[in-house]
Amino acid sequence: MKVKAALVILILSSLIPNLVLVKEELRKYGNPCFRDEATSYEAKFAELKHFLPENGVVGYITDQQPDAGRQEYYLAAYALAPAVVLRGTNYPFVVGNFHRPVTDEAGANPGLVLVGGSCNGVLLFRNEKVK
Amino acid sequence: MIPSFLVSILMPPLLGFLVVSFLWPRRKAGRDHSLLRLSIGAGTGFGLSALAYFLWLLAVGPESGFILLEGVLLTALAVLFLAGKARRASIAGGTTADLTPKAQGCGAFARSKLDRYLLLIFCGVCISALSAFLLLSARQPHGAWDAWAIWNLRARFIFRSGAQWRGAFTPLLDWSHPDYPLLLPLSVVQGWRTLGAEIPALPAAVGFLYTFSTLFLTCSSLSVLRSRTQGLLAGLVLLGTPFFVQHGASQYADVPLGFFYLSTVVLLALYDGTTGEGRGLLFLAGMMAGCSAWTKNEGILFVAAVIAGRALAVIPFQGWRSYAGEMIVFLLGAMPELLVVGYFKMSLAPPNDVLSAQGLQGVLGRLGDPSRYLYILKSSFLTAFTFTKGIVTLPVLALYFFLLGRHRRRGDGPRVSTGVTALALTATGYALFYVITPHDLAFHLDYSLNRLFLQLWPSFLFCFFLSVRTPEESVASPNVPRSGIMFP
Repeated sequence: MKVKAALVILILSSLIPNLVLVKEELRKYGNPCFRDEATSYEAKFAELKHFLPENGVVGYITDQQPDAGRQEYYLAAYALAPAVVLRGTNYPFVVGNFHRPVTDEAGANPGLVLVGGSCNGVLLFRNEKVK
Repeated sequence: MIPSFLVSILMPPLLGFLVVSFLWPRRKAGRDHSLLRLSIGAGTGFGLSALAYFLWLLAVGPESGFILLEGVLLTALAVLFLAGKARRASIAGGTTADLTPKAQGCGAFARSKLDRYLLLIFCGVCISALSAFLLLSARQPHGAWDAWAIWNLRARFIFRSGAQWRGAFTPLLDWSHPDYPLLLPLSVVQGWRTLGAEIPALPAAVGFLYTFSTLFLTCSSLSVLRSRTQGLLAGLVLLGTPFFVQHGASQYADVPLGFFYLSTVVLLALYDGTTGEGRGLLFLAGMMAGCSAWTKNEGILFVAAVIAGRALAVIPFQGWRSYAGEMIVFLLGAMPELLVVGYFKMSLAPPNDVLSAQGLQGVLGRLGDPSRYLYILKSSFLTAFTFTKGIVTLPVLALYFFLLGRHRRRGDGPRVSTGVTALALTATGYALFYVITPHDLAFHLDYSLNRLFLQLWPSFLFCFFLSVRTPEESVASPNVPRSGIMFP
């Protein structure tokens, strides 16, 4: 009896979470609320990659607070590798990642000249002050 | 594309299987150990391949050619393996006398009703876990946070940088921990090199192989050492740990690290079952421990813990001489990986953020603060109940142990105690690391403690099911000893 009880406890407590996990994953799969951020960032920065120097250092600016934007900064670094993406503007090229309509970012950062951008808030600046 | 993908992902495990087969004691080699050798071989192959590829990068550079070297090595090993097999078969007259169920003892139980039912349930749960793994991988092809912020980022840097691959370790990206060892990123990079393209499915496939190798290693090792029922039960518990399946698919390094911990503990337990002819197992155990150091920094601590744990298990019963003899073989196996890790740390990697961000004064101050110990103890206690994200946690296992009782057999002492001591010492090392961390302690624990539990979980389950009686034993002799809820 004891052995049967032990086996039933062990088997059920292994089986149930496993089935719950599959159910959860089926629910999440294809649900836009659970979309993969890394995949989104790959697409977001895909075009920009062609304009950046390989193996060089590029700057990164955003309209988010450093803590809130940490994940996005890391994702940008992942998408743009092997360019080394560093926060700040003291680099020949600066990548902008904005969530609100960009009004005058270059004006707020003297020396930055808009090179190009896309409608998803990703902009590329050249820093005139850094050669 | 599919054939080349399969070549790139299956070549290292095949190489590993052949290496493991060569080192496996001849007496033990046979049909029933194939799954065990295959499971250990999968991780060994990736470990050795990443090691060889690192040396190739240093000596030759990222130019293609490594795949040729690997192919030649694989063919040579396969020819030698088949030749050796044919020779052994001719010597034994086409039979392998040692492999009859009688000779294997507990390794080959007659298939009972329970055994068949368990196998059926295990297969069902395995398919369910596989589905969850595939769904997770499809939803997150780049893995979870640490995968893209550390492991796959490093792989990308090395792959995309070409001749400038050393730039992957720039201290400018200190948040991505460029000092972390390279087994996982280089396993991915050499797969991409074989394919000639950066395929996101490859890191997921590496994660898949580590996850399911850990599962099959747990099952097959306990099948050999105890019974098939015991192996299947341990496998069920591992599959019933949602965090294990989720984490395997997340492409973090914790499941591979757990695989190497488990391999080391299993190989040492298998060695303890031999009578001196199992030096190859000891060498392999060293190799696996070395691979753990080549996977994550925690692995370096594990190597030290195994050396110390083995001393506590062997010296009191067999003396210093026996221990020293064992350690020479063990360290010979671990040496290539440890030397490469040493070289990497000294010549390429920037200093570790935890160790370099503080002076001796800071460390001593934190070591002398009792509130930190209490906080770590409290967090560890709570995490022990929750980290599996399932139902099977330590209390459930304690109840199971209480109901079935402790397995007692002469000579099983060192087999279990080496693993338990090594795991306990590793856990103690983890705790001390938290004590001295310069980061915010609560954040550091929140962020990583459950993963540290997960690293030790497969090895813990192995030791647990090695120590508890099998259902068959309990039915045959129902008097459960009341003493010894704890491990020997």
